[in-house]
Amino acid sequence: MRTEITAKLRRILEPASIVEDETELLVYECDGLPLFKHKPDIVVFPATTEQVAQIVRVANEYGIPFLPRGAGTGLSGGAFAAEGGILIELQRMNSILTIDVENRFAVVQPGVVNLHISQAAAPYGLYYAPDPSSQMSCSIGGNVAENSGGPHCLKYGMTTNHILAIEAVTTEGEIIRLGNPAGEMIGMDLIGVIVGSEGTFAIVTEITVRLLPKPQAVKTMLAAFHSVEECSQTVSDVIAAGIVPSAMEFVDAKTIEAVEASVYKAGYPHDAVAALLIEVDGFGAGLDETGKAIVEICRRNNAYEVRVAKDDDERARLWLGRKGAFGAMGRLAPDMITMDAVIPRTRLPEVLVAIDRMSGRYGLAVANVFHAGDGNLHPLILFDSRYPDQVDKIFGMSEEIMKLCVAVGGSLSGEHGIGYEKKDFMDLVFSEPDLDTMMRVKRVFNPTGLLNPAKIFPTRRGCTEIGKHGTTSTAEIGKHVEEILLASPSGRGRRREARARQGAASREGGPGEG
Amino acid sequence: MLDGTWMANETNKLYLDCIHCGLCLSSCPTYRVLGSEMDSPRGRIYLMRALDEGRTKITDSFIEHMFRCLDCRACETACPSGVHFGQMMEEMRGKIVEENPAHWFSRWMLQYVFPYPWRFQIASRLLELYRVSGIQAMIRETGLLRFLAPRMADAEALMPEIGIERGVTLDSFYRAEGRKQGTVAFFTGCVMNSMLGSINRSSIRLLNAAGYDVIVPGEQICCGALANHAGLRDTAKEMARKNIAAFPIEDLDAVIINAAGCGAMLKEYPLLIDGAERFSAKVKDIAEFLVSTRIFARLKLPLERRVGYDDPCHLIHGQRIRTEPRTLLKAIPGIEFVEIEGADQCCGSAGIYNITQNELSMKILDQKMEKIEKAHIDILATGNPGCMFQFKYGARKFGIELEVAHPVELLARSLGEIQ
Repeated sequence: MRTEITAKLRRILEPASIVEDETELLVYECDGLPLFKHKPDIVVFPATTEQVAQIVRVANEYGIPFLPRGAGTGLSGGAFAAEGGILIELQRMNSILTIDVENRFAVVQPGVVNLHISQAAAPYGLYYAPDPSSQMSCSIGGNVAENSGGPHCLKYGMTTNHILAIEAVTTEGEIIRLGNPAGEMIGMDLIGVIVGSEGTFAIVTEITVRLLPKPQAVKTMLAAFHSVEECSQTVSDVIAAGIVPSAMEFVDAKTIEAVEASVYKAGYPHDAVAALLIEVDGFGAGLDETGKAIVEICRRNNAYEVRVAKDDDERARLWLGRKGAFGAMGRLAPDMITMDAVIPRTRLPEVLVAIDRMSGRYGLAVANVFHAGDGNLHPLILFDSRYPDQVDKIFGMSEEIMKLCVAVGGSLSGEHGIGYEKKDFMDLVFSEPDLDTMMRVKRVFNPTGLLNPAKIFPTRRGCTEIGKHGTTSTAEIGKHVEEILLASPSGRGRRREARARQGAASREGGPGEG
Repeated sequence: MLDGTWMANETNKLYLDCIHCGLCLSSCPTYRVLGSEMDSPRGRIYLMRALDEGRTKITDSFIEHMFRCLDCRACETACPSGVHFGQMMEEMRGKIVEENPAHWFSRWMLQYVFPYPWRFQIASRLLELYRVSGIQAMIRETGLLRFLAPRMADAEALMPEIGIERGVTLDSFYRAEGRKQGTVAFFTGCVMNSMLGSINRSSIRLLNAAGYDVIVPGEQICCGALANHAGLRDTAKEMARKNIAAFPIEDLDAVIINAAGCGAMLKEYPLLIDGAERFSAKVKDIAEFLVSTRIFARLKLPLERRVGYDDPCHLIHGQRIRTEPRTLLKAIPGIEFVEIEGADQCCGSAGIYNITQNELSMKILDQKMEKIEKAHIDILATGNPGCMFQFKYGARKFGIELEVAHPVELLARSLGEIQ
């Protein structure tokens, strides 16, 4: 059958666009989350929408799974071939087709790098707002699939708020077009259904994105704190003051250590326990006052240093540091898992304390760098995948973090998607009927289930135990969380403890102790 | 599973620095053209790790993807975790060549021609003969070569149009002008000295004008970069030893090199052999050195042209030198300096890559030339011989009127009368 499928694909694609070599397939066994691996049987590189449709038809004919992939920077395992099959790599469909300056939109192919859209629009004073930290590499097709966020989504909204029209190939291999560049939605918002469906409803082959005029003025500030509480309180106070920052990012000591050692060195304060990167933008008039108000709030919360970027260069450096943070973790450990959860802003301090304690208990170092403004946490758990016990611990700890976040009124994902990583946690927030309803929506778009199987929905539906590493039921977790929170030591002791742990979990010691 | 064969111990497992984030992807010239993970830095590292962990073998496709890398090291400039990609790639290639001898010709050239100045001179002169003899014109006109071997034809077209100019003589001495500031040694580089001699003469004029005595040690040979990139580690090591022995390092303020690829190699001798630190610490690219001298006061004659600068990979990524050449060029009176979009991206020359991986090299060059065409410049300055050849070829291919020069040539033209 395999040779038959290959023969059919050869009629659609040139030989250089079909990969079957075992060595080459190896690099496609995972995406940005190498914790989960499975090789696809074939990787294809279509150049046109028509080719994508034909490939999908071949997959249907033989009843084999297929899925799209962009840059492979996703962090929930959305773009790995969990059940093998045909991996449709869209990186060669990477042209910016139109930049319509007057109507402020761009038409792009899915393989276009997020940042390249803004670069192409820059000469016209326009840009594409959603800015995931991986924006210098991630593809817009992947952003659409995952409904990606980014620091500036605090003010500007997620990917879905910026997609005006799409062209997509359905699971049957039909080409459809939804929406229009004017942004007027007539009838049901089907774009809204497909954006964020994590590559399980359709393969998006062309995207019309909204472009925004660059803000007239921007003010970027960096505030350094001696405690997580003071830093978190500042976040709440800024929002409570009625200010809408365009971004408000939390960076902890471990992250600062990694970033400052890297090419993205941003001048973050070395001695800070936590720092906030705050940005406001808009009309020039009034922005200075807003900036002053923020500085005042920071000072009131005992920020020991507040710096306002004096020019675009410094501003760019502060942001590059933030955006290079995930990638800089290679300096601290060979592997890392980037958690993604949302919690109410007001619960930040206690949740961070609880995670810190878990870090001690599991003996795995954790760095925190996240979108504080909307409570979108990103605990980065460091480990070494060569040691199976550490991999086990990763599963246990990530499950515990998820349960904790849900227990304090949060949610499973802010922007990275559920993918493969968190599908078994879906039961934490959704009831059986909820999941059934979602499943029915999925069946409308993906009746055969061949498109990107084994994603989003739990494998062991109806079971109160979550995942094979879980031992506690959802009902028990509330109590569990309370215990963790009640046992929190005072801020002072905590800081000492955190410093001691940082020393212990350095590269030489390995993250395996604790 | 963990007993690595080519990365013998934990500290040498450089691939562990890679966290698989993918921030390197769009910095990689081959990934930009091909869009395939195995032709990206992340993919190549993934394969190296898989090999070390026994999950794959050195297959034909493995070799192909390792040698398809330009070794431009743009990924190092993008990597937040500071992965030593160039070092890893060179070690990997060394391992491959050890087990799978490279094509006999390039192997022979690298092992038996490049290390020996006189043999290289002969080879260069044969090349020149080929050009002036009319055989070249005949072959180009009849299209015979293109018919026989398209790959070879493009490689042939890359051959420099420049006549062979005498460079600086080995074992010579050039006295500082005016008040002496110090003594430096000059590393001639094999290509620079035998094909682009005026660049070396310009370099020495500038060093003298800046107040430095220049010695040109006679025992120096090729730096070994081409051999090292091709995986001929032992040849490269031997060359490094000979070069270090050739320079009276204690008596020198610096060892000056004007070819980016050689400079990066000389600075990285400590990665190749023990005891190279003192030598390598004194190696300076000519722009890096001149920028802190009195040369600015000597730039008098105007150059009223639009000049663009393209960063050689082994200067910007290999040595992190970006501003110095620009500062110097901008100091030339009358010059209109133009920043070219994507100046930090590889031109596809990459040593002998444009010959070994011609098709891909040409695609990368095409992307580059489009941007250069848009910049409407009269002169393109760049500091590496391979890149200069590549751009000369690119200009011809695109039909652009463009002078390609080393920054030192433009600087030397601006030198006023001796004070």
